[in-house]
Amino acid sequence: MRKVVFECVGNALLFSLMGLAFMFPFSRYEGSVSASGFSFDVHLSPFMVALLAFLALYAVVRHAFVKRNGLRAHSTGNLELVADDERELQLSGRALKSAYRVLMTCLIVGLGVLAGAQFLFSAFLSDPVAVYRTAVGIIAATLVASSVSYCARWCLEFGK
Amino acid sequence: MDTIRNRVREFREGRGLSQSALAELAGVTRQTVISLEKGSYVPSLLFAMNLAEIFGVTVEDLFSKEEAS
Repeated sequence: MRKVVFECVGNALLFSLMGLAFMFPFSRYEGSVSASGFSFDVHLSPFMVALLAFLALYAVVRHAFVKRNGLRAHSTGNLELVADDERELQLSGRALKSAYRVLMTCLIVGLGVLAGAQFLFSAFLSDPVAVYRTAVGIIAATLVASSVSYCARWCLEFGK
Repeated sequence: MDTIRNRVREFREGRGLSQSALAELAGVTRQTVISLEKGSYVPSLLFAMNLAEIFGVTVEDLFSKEEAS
């Protein structure tokens, strides 16, 4: 169960950070360095920095986790799908069903929200960037919801 | 709906095996043995035959069908 929780939590954090980084890619904080004959401006999104830092840290932590738990090398792709025996294979199947249902629901709702956002923003706010952010937010939220539902269902079935 | 009853715990305790030991012998996780003994997991035929072989009994000795009333 540990490997499923670890991978799903990691994925949920990754998708959340990705969503935020891509929703707000432009800098809110600016820095500049200047010296005689030299000037260098940096525009950095804090969410992008957080995402890059997380990617680097997660790679290290995940490697340590895999090694510590003695997981097989060929099974390190998707830890949440790895089954130690036939029962865990069944659990994965049931959890995937739940994740699929959540994914479909979120995508359908997302389509409706996007259509509504496009109408709203173009009619009242004239802000195309807001539609982009809405779209990215919906995709990220769908990925997070799907991961969380997979993990929850897997753990629930595991405990039976 | 018919269910399957098992005597895994009875045979395991009769042979002085822990759940972990049985799990290791059968090539499954301890949680699988726990679920099996609770009756919340129906094993595959191969797993059932492996268990029967470990205990030195037949599959029919270990598992029986309970018809829904």
